[in-house]
Amino acid sequence: MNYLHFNEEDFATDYFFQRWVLEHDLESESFWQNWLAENPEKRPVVKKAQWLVQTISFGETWSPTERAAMWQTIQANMNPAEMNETPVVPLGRESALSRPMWQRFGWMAAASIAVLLVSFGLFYSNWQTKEIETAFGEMRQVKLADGSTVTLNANSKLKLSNDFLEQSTREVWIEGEAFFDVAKRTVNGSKVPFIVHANKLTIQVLGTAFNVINRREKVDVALEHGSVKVIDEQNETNTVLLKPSEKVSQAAEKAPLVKQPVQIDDYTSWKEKVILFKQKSLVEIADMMKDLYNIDVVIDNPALKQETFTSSFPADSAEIFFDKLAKMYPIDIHKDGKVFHLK
Amino acid sequence: MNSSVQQEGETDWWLRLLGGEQDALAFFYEKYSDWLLKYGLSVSYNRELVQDSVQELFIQIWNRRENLTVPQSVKYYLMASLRRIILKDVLKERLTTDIFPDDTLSLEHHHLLDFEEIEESNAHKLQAAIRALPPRQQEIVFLRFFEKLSYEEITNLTGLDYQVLRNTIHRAIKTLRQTFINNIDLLLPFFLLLYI
Repeated sequence: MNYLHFNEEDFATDYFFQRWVLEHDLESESFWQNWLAENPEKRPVVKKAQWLVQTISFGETWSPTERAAMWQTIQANMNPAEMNETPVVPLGRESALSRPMWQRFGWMAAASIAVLLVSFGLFYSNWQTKEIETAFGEMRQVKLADGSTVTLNANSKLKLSNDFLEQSTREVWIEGEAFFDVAKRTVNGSKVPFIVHANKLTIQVLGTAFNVINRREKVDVALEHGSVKVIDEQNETNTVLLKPSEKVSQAAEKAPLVKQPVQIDDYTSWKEKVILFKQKSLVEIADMMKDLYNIDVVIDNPALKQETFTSSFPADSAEIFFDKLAKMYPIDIHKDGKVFHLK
Repeated sequence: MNSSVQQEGETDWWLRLLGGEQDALAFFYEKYSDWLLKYGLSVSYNRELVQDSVQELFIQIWNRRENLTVPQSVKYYLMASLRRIILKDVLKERLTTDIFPDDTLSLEHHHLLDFEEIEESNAHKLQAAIRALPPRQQEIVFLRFFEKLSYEEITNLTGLDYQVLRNTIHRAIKTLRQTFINNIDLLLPFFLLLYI
């Protein structure tokens, strides 16, 4: 091979040259050292090619969170027949990952469940769904059996069937507000969809993270990452496909679905216990106080109703919000029993 | 480091996995998940798709373990299987997910003080430039320069013929060199002093 007219990319593409840089084997080492000694003027070109070949590397790693979440998804999909033991486990309590009893007696247990179902068919319908509720001012994280996480905001309710994992689709119902981080699930090579029902909207998911607000007949879905399809159950041609950092809202049943770009933090900061709002009218803020904390806010001065505000406050202390409001704006606030009056 | 040669002790772990020990699956997950991310992104630069595929890979291994044998090299087996899963998804056009860049590839400029920092910064830029290559070129660059597979092993894995492989490497290198030629010139005086 005549290397005299090689440029950097010719060297870097040459297999024998690559062998020298990557493997330092004896044959290539002695050849290239001799060749460089005979052709010292080629050193700069060779050095550049060498730098390129030996600097090529790949630095990506999973974050610890991703790593753990993936492992959970993997475990949730191992031996699907055993997974109906604890459909919902509150976060913080480790679900038993290896269940030798179930592995041994799984078949028998499944058989006896079938018998029970036949005998108590009527009663079954009463306890086939599970409900998780949060009180005013309470926030709760729920881990589902498939590895998905649902963070419930205050005054919210999540419903799902007890055989959630056995169905061909994973279905849940939400009232109030929740952030969903959905784990992907595959059974026999095909993906199992995750469906959230909010009022009369259906949100179809493959694996993604998004926030849903379903309060006062108004539904609002904001997507953090992944992809979801939102369908109006009363008019199935009325659908919207969301991309990250977009939200869709429906102001009332049968109303059009309106899509718009958003700052996703505005919709997810509550999970970090920060209530954030931008350009919200006092009427909207009053509704929010009622929904999240059962605090009544009465706006005594009608001129104030349409004023907009931008602020934030810690989720566990709504009172701080009123302090801030009084300091930032010329508003007179007084508390009368459990009711805040704004003037 | 070669992926076609079995790493020490892995046959034992693999046999334990086939026998139904979850710890053994965890062992391979711990050992190879980062490496599979790097390789997976080379096949398709879509982090979410790679995440899905890595999960699916480990789920499949576990759920089908009764039909599996001991591969000549676990690493090579994982690599070939991940590739198959990713490409199956790409081909089926089931990609409803978004592509977002990896933030470890940040191209932030810093004021550079010494050679090591220039060198490090350039290595980062080179990583980013590789991730900007077309997927096939990324994969070949990964296999040849990072994984140090021989051309023969690469043709076996990818099904590409030798000439196409050579041309692909040439095109990738050409793009990388054009991106880097100024930077390489800049650091060359240091480089010559240190290494020759």
